[in-house]
Amino acid sequence: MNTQFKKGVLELVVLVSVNKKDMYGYELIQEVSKVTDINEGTIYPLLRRLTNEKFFETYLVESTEGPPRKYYQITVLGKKKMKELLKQWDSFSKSVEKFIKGSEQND
Amino acid sequence: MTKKTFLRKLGSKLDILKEEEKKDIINEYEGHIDEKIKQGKTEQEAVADFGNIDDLTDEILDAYKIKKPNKEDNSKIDNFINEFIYTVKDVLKNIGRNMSEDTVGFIFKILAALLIIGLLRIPFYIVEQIGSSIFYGLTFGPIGAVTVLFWKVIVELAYILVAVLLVASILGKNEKVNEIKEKIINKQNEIKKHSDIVSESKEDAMRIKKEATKIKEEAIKIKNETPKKEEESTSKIPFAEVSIIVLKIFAIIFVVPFVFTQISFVIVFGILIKFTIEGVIIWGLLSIFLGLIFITGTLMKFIIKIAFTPKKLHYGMLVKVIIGFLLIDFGSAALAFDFMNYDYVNESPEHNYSYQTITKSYSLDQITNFSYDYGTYEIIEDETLDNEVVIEINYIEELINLNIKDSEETISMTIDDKDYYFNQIKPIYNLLMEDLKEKVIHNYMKLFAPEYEIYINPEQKDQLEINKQKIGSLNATLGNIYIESSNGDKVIINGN
Repeated sequence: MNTQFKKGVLELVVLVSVNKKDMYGYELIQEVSKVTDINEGTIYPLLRRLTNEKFFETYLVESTEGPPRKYYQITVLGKKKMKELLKQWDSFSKSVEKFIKGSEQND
Repeated sequence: MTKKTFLRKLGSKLDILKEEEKKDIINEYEGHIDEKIKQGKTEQEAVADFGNIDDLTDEILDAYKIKKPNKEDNSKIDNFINEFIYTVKDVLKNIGRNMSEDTVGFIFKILAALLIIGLLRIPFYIVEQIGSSIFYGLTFGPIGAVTVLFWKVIVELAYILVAVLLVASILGKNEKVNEIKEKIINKQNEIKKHSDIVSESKEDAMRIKKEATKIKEEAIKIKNETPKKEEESTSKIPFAEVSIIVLKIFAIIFVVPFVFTQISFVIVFGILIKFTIEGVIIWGLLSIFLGLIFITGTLMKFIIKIAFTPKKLHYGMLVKVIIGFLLIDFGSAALAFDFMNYDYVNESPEHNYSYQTITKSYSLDQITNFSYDYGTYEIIEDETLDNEVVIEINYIEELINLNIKDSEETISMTIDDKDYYFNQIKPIYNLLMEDLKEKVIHNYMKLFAPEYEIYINPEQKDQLEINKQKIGSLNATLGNIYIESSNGDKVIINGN
């Protein structure tokens, strides 16, 4: 799949995932991998950007094994952003669907 | 690649980020790798899953909206300035929380600009002085004066140019555009206000309307100017490049004298160490020179760092300078204390040199004047002598050359300048070492002083005039070393 396209969708998928429940990086990658295969490294920069843009907040949870885990939590602003992206995605996918159907009928 | 090397590489590529951010990122990646290892992957596999490390860092920096540091120096110095601005802004913000960030930023920028201009003056001044003396040494008379003036003008112009460019690059960052935007908003508000008034009072309506349109026109004019100004700020880059090159050249010129100073400090320190080995320990001087080495070394590093690798400046440097000053302070105190324990004896030290004795006798009909330049004399009355003067000279031949001239009326004793200074160093050094071990200091110059004993009949004493020529002061100009005697005669020792 086109990387640029994937990147756009990735943001939405991450927002939706964290909206379901607070997650730490590794957990989130497992979740996102269900939808699309991505380079694991790229998810952290994305999380960082979303945090910088105040869509996420973070907190640390001590873990029994290894270093404390950084959990991501969605903010009100993040929820707003998610809804906005969902709407965009919805209309986009609908119009694409419509377009494809239309071209099929022409065949 | 192992986990350790991966994290180290990642860290070094993220150097431009703030330390805590960097640590945070590295922690996250470390945690991730650990989880993968727990799932049964090897370290190598876990790291390999991240793909190309350069692409990864690009993306991380992208998340910060930071462009990857350019190889060009331009962005380096920009980074440095930004870092500098950021740090001091942080400090200022803590001082005056109630001030708005813009005001603080602006005040800070002005302060930074003034500071940089002030610091910049130093290398320019040094270059100007060095250049002037070189030109003056090479050319003489009016031509020299003109050349020096020309040189000074060039240096001053260069200074002004660099200073203006620096200030422009500090203050000019987006400031102009923002300023104009603000102006437009103000004008628009004014127009609104005026329009409100228009609706209220019909009397002034026409006048105000006219004014409003005038302001509107102005606003449009300013609006049109905005993109032009933006263009200007982007075209500033070549200027910045030029000023960086100039800065680098000056940094090199500025560092050269420091290098020489440092070398001489190290040599002196080495000599002091030699003293220590030979049993003469002067803690005060050791401490002072160690401090000086610290300070010059750090200053050199500081200059080089600013010009070539503008990065976060470390507190380590400040600490080193402070340590240097403490060492000097401690050393001065120790030295003063040390010297209180020394005895000064105004006599020549004990030595193994043998005195040479020369005896000369002259008729007082011939000679009426005895002249000498250095040493001591003693008149010894001798009634057996008639119309005669006998002079006995005692001096150390190994150390000085004594010239005895008897012209028509004068006997003149002068110490030869030749090798005068070089002959002294070794004997004084050895004797000084002996003295220092015993905490005594002698008058070493007495070693070089001839003693004159003048035998003369007491009744004829008045017939001989004795005078001491003032020993010449050593003066040096570029290329010439000359001795100027009290009557203004100059003897050039070396050069033309």
